[in-house]
Amino acid sequence: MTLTKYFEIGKINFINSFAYTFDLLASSVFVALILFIFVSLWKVVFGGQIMIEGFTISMMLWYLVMTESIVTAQGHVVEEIGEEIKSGQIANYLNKPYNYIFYKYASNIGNGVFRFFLTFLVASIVVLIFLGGITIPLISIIPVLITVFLAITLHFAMMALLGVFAFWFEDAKSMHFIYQKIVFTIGGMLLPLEIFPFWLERISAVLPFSYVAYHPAKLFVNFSFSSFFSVLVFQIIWIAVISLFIFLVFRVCVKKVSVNGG
Amino acid sequence: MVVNHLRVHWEYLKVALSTAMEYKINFIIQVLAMVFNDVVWIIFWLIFFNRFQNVGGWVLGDMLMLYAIITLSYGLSSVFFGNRNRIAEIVNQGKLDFYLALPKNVLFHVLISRSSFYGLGDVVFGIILAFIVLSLASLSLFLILVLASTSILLSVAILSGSLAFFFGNAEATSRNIFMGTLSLASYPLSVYQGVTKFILLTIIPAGFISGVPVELLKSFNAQWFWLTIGFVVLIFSIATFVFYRGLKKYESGNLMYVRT
Amino acid sequence: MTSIITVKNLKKVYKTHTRKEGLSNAIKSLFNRKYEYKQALKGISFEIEEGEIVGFIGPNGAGKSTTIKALSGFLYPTSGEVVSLGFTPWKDRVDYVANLGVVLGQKAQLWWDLPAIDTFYLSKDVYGIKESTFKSRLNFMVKLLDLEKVMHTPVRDMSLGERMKCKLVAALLHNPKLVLLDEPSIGLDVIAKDKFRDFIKLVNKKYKTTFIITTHDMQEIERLCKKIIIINNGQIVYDGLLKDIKKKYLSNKFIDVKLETKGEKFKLRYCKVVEQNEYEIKIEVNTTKIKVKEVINSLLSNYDVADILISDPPIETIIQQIFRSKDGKV
Repeated sequence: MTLTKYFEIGKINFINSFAYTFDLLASSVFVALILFIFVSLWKVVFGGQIMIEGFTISMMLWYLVMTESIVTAQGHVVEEIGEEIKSGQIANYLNKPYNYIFYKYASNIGNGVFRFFLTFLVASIVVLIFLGGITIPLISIIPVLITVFLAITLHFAMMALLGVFAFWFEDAKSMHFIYQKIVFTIGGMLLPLEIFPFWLERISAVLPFSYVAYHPAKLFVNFSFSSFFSVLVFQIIWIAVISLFIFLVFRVCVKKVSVNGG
Repeated sequence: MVVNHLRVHWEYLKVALSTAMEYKINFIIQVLAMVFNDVVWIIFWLIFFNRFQNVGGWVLGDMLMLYAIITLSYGLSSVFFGNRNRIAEIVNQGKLDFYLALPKNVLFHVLISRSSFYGLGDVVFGIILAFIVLSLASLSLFLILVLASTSILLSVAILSGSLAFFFGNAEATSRNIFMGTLSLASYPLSVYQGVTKFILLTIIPAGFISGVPVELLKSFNAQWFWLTIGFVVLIFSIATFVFYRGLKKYESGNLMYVRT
Repeated sequence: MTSIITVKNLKKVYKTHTRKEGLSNAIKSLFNRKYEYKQALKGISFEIEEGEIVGFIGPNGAGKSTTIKALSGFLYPTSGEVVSLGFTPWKDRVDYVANLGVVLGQKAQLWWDLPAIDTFYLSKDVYGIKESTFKSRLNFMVKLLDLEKVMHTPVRDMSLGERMKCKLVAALLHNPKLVLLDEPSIGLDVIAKDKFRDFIKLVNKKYKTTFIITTHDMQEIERLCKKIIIINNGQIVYDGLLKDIKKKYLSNKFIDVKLETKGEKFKLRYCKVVEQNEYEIKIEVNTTKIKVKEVINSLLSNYDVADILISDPPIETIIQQIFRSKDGKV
């Protein structure tokens, strides 16, 4: 199997996403607002303190820059897939020479990477203006980008799974909404898990949601190769497990769709 | 006149409720999603205050109070003025003609002619929160402040929606202004300082939606109370003025954008 | 007869600005706007009397909908005067529209997810109609339009015709003195159109309701309207009785002849053979030059005639003729 065709699909979508500049601009203005609020919030909370749970104030906010950028990178995957499966539109994809989920992934990852960088840029500007920069080791950039890429992939995989489930549960929009809120909290998007009570921290740290937000962002502000490898391994494991689920559930779906005649 | 408008409002609510019943399952899911959202935020603040106890003088109880006010005013405005976030769309798509053809106050009629009953989830949630954190003595003050907060929220929606009169396609922008204001209002007022705080008490009235009411419930201050009431009157007048200014423009038929 | 609407020298100039697609152009246009002025109405005047059904005709962009909007109270004209039902529509909007019914052809005026009956009940409260009046009017219309069953199904499940009927009911429930119908029968099938027209005629007769109808459908005009107003380029080019315009412009008549036995080729001065085959002849006669009687006499003496039908050309032809004549003036 050649990966080139998926790469091409991704590239086209990367370029296409420039077309939605206005929509993107609106969503990044929103991210800027949230960051502004959190700069204010953390300034008050830190007060004179240098460090809270191993985070300085700038680590805390650059952590948020990273989580926000990753989480907003994926658009409406759940709704999109849910709609296509429910309406039987996937029948059109099934006879194409590529796998439907891979196709969706390829078309979303291009978009996702673009959105990631855009959000990151906007969020960084806000934090730079209202707080200041952060120094990170040069050597960490490539490994962090790798985990970010895997995080966006895992994010996609979980949303795709929900999208496939929308075949049975009516409201894909509400499911997306609920998933989003889970990532907000126990995924560690808004608060690093260290702030949580100990028991919740432990549970959240092993669940896949924190491999979308918390772990890569923590790695970004506090890099070490040992944690990089452990994050990498767990991200790959979760991606594999969730992909397996997707394919199992998807097979049942496709059967039903073809029985119904698409 | 007023009685007649209220009657019409009541009829619209009945109609909207029967629409909601047409799609029972969707309705229930949406209500639950709203409640889930509120619960998640409460969990967020439980975690937060469990670790930090105090944010610039605000404690967990204050935050719960803030959520009681904000979910109630958001929920009430969705249920009773369900078109509040669709003004831009209605203007932009020329749907105002429908309202202009009917013998009622246009702005009022636009706002009430739809009702988002899933806002009931927020209302119920807000009431439960209020029961937990509120003392009986401050109930009347609480109710007044919720009404004030609802009116400000509504005014922000009218103002942002009226942008469509002047800039054409403003649906996304108008929605973002509303949601942005709401987001700013969802954090303790004590985190904002200096210029930011001034802005939040003037141009972007997020402070008056939630922060000031909470402060008033903590310790009553006649001056701030009347300032809040005065602000409600002011912003609501401005919002109505801007809407009718825009309506004049709409009626002059100059809204058409010729796109090439 | 008293006039119910008086329009004097009504003018409307639209000011629009052009903008190219795209964000950068949108920003540019914020600073440097190019305005375009479009004269939609160049000073029109007309009167309409109570109980009339008036057809409002003109090509797209002629100023039809601008006039209708000004009459509905949706639109501030640039200058001029309108007195309708004793009100200036755009000044006394609320009081005025209480006596007005408006049906906008393609726009939603019903609640999509609800049975139409719910919309009717809403109308009752919006217009403050008394329960007893409401009931009797509703019954009257529902019976006439065959809506007894349909009005209990959600609007989204109705056919186009049923929806139009329901819109009409909603617009007539408060017994308006004046009803404006904008392209009411667009998309309806022939039977639905017929029912719709009969209904309007009946309401007009029974309640003396005045109707103004804009339409592209000339058959509709012929069936419903005694009086027509033709508008072109923002100016009224004809205002008068339908039959007068026919008389004036109908210098031609069509004669269709069916023959018992085969006939020879027909030939007569001032007559044009449109079509002829073995048993049928179709002739266009210029009636200013020759009497129809003469033509028929000639036909009867030369052929074994089975049937003769004399007809006017369709109104479309007349209207086209008017628009094509210089300046569009009549």
